[in-house]
Amino acid sequence: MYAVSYDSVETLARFSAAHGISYPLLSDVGSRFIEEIGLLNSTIEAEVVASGRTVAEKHHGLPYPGTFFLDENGTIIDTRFERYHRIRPTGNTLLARLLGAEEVPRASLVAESSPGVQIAAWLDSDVVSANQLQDLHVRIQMDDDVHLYVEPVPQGYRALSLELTGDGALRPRPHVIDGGRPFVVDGLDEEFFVVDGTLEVSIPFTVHSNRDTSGDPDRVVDVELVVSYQACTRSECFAPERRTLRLSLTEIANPA
Amino acid sequence: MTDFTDVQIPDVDFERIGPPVGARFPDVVLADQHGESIDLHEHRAGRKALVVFHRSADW
Repeated sequence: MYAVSYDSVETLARFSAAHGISYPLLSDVGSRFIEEIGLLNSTIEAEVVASGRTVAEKHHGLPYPGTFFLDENGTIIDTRFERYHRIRPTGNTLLARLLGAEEVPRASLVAESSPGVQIAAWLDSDVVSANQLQDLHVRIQMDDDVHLYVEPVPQGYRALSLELTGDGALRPRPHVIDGGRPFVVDGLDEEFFVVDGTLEVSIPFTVHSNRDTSGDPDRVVDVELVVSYQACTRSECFAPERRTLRLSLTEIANPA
Repeated sequence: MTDFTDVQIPDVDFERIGPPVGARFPDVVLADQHGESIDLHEHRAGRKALVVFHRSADW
């Protein structure tokens, strides 16, 4: 991991020593590299003003906060950008996105099942602080001959949907259900799309808090994932299902 | 705490910011916290990497 900011070497040295950081903190004084590659933040002033603060020197030359994921050849395989510097992914979330969710030690895992379908869900981390971004991972494994319908579905059929609810502080962000292949049912004109095998979906979310950043005790945030679907084989369909998986994480105070 | 997700500010298309997916990350040499020059791609030595851009470490 490499971290780039406009800080001087001296500032980075202090920060690195204070927090025991071993990865390279790179100093782009004057934000030349940040500007050269098109990351200079052009909305920061509006953001600062909109949040009731005063624009200061430190706001000039800021990059858009975000992460590039590079493969072994140095090719960019994914990017994640956030509008707000306050919203940042957890370390585990970044690692999971680079290496794959399976490769990162997971927090507690919960599971549910119905005929032909096994569902597992886990969080990147058991702890979160306000405005920190992390992913809830969902893995749905279908038996060999089983498929689930995905959008768009004809009327009367239930498409797979994942809904993150629970604690009011939870702010889910949009997620994508990948894939879906065309599927024809013998004797029917309607067009279907289905998924089969193993489906993995990550749902990003943040936790919003009205707490003060200091002094308050840690707090448990309930996370509920509602999975709705209908599983079918070539010859029969099971009843539509609606399964709720419950997880929790602890919201810790933001570092000062 | 202000809910920053509700603040209205100009739209930014994050798909179009910086080098795109599929491109090689630009070559860059910057000083690290020890004052040593780091050539990012050379330093990676063929390993995967995350490059994080963030605000100042000072505030």
